[in-house]
Amino acid sequence: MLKKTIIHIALLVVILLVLSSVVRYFMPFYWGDSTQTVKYEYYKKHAENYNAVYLGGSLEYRHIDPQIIDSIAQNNGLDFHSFNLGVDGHGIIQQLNDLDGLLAIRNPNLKYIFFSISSEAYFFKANLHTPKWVSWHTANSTFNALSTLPSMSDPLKYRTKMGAFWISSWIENMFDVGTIPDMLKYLFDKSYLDTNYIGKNKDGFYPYDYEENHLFMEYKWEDTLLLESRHRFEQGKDPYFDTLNNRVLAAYGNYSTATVPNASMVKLCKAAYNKCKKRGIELVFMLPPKARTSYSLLLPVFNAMPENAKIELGDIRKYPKFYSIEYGYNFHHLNYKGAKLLSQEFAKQLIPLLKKEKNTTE
Amino acid sequence: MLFNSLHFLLFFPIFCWLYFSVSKKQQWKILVAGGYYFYGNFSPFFAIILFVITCNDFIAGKMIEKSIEITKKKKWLYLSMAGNLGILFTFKYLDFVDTNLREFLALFHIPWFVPEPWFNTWVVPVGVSFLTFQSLSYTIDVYKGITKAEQQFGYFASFTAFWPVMVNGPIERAKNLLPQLHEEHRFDYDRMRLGVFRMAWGLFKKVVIADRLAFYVDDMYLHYNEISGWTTIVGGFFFFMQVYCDFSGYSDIAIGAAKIMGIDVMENFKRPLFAKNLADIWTRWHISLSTWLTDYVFFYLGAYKASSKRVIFNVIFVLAVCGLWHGANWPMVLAFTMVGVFMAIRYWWQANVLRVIKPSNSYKLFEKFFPSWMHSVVTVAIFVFCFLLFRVHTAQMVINFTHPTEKVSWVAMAKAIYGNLFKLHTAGYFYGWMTHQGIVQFIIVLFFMTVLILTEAIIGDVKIETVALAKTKTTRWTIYILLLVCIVWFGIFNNTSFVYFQY
Repeated sequence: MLKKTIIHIALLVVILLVLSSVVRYFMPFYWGDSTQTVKYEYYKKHAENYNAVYLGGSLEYRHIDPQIIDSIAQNNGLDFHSFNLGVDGHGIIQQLNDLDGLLAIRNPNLKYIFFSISSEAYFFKANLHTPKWVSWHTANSTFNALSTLPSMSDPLKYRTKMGAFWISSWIENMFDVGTIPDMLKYLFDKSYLDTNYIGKNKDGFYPYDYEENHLFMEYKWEDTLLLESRHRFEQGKDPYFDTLNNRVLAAYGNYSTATVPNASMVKLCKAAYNKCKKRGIELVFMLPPKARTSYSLLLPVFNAMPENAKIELGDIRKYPKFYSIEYGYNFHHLNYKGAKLLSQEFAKQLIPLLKKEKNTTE
Repeated sequence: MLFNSLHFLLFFPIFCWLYFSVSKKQQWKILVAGGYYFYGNFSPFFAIILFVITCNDFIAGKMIEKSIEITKKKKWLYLSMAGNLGILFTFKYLDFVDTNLREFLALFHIPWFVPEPWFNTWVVPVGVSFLTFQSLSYTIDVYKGITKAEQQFGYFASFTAFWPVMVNGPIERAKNLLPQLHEEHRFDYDRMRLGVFRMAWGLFKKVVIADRLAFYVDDMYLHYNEISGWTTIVGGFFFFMQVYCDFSGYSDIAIGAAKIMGIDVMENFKRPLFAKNLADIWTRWHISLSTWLTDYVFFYLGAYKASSKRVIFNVIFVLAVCGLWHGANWPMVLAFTMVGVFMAIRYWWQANVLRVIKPSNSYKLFEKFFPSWMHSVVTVAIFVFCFLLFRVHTAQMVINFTHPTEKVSWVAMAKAIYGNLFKLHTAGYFYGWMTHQGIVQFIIVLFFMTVLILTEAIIGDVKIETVALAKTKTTRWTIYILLLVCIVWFGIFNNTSFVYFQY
């Protein structure tokens, strides 16, 4: 009897798994996040207009202005048309998933993909059970995330919890747990999509200065509304301000070439690099300023990436302005003024890379 | 531990495996361990309270039976009542009494001698009203001679810690549950099928309907001063359905889980939407509480064997007690008192008017044009009307917490909500309310509510699992798959607790 019960339960699970897979087959990889949907659908329609895209989280979405970078590159005689595909909250694991999705979108002109090294495989508990998070948790993403956990320096309890979150989200993804209403919404009622997030110049860039006048209530970040976090930061009352700056300074100060990078993160990034290389696309790694993840983890991984495929903007000693109140929005984001400055500095480092690449090709 | 959590999904099979693996003599130990783990999971302190209640009533029960003199029996009964009601009062009503005394004395500028309400930060143990009422019924029944006192502490502990029903009912009676706990229970495939189906049906009501309706109900109360009559009417009905699906969903899961364990517990809901009148609705809604109150309060007051005035008082009083049981706040008490008033009016009408006019032709003509389904509509409408107050206290707390600058009183809120019923000429926030989660969600919630109502209309008072499992194999498997798909695909799984957990 017990055997019969187990067989019946297993049969139901298999049927559910098959039905769920069929449903998910018809959905694009970005359907769960409204901002990502808006940006990728726009990019998909106009993909051939761009030969470069930026992947990343809010540190890219809110900081990298393609218009500034494109114009500087074009003034240097380079053919460069870029689109910002950064999405709030996307760390390294999501970017790997984004990269797979991006490569599946037809764009013969795509030459450069900029990939941000700005976070470990973190998982905020508040993201559990949300379609935004569940939708992209494929077996591949879960495997990638789990592979980085054993070599992290965080306490075992924390890493176990993260692992459990990743696995539970993957199970939810496999069975489409609670996500069908959102899929139906995506398929039949797109009124919830806000095209403002493509950016004022239709290039995917949308700094937080715009956000606060638009829909700042939509996103909560560490239980603090965006505007409140800005006021606190500008008044010098943000407790994380000094902590972050000191941590960044210490990480850069203590770094030596002998520091061993996190092997699994390096492996994942290099695999992504080679995947792009095979398709004739250059994957360039960026190290942005103001990341919340410790630079003592990020910096060695970044430095382990191939030479001539790196743009480094995180060093507080070289770029103190990015860490100042004047150019900051809150303790780990830049304001529009800061974003402009960052884009200019980004372009400065990009031009020699592009020229070198051009010369090699010629 | 919540029934709609991953934790429970892991707990239940492990519990069943252990429960069916051990011998008859050991099963109570698994039950007690499971119960304390289940309840202690909310907070270890709650498990201590459960233990205190268990000891109190076990000793009281034994002593009542042992005592020969009626005064001694009474003394032990009062001790049991003092223990149970004392715990209930301390955790649930002390703050309420303190606040009201404070406000009352402030009217006369008299300072209240308790300087700081140190107890108002105490967390009310989950389902404490259920626990205490279930345990209390045991000592009362022993006192009345309805049930025999349990001689073995372990079995009695498994009665109070019977986890399927302990935090959210049904409030089981000792005479039904205790003898079953003494029996041996082996794994039974047919019981398992019935139980699992009933649990799935309960989960469907909770995570697909109730938790989805919560979006609309929350939004309605949040915008209580912007909404129109139509939003209040539809939203009020949604709230009624939310509470029904949430609470009956929990009961279904509890009944199903108990069935798998080989134990039959009482039904708690019987299609309240189809009640013909307010008296009828109390035989269909939270049956275990209404029968508890009928047996231990209403009959004690004299029930219907008294003068008309006294009966009217009895009805209103019992419903007021019912309101107080639900929540230590005035809107809740008033909501149920209003139901009591309507029930009293109905009683008076039947006793004094209906008796006279019933034989007349005009009444027969009226009955012809007032079919039975319209009785149900009117009954539910009255219930919904009273239930608008049910949520006021919680909504007031939420609004005052999220908007501390605009303190709103429950009176102002209740006035606004009932005032909205007269604004039928304007759409107000109706479209915004309907679509604030997107039109797809609204269509989904309407669809599943219709499915539920139609299912209940078709199957009648027969148990859902009995109907479903009597079908042919193909139909049965189609139902299994559909139900599973609905729960998994359309359920809301953010660990929303059950509405009745706070009671």
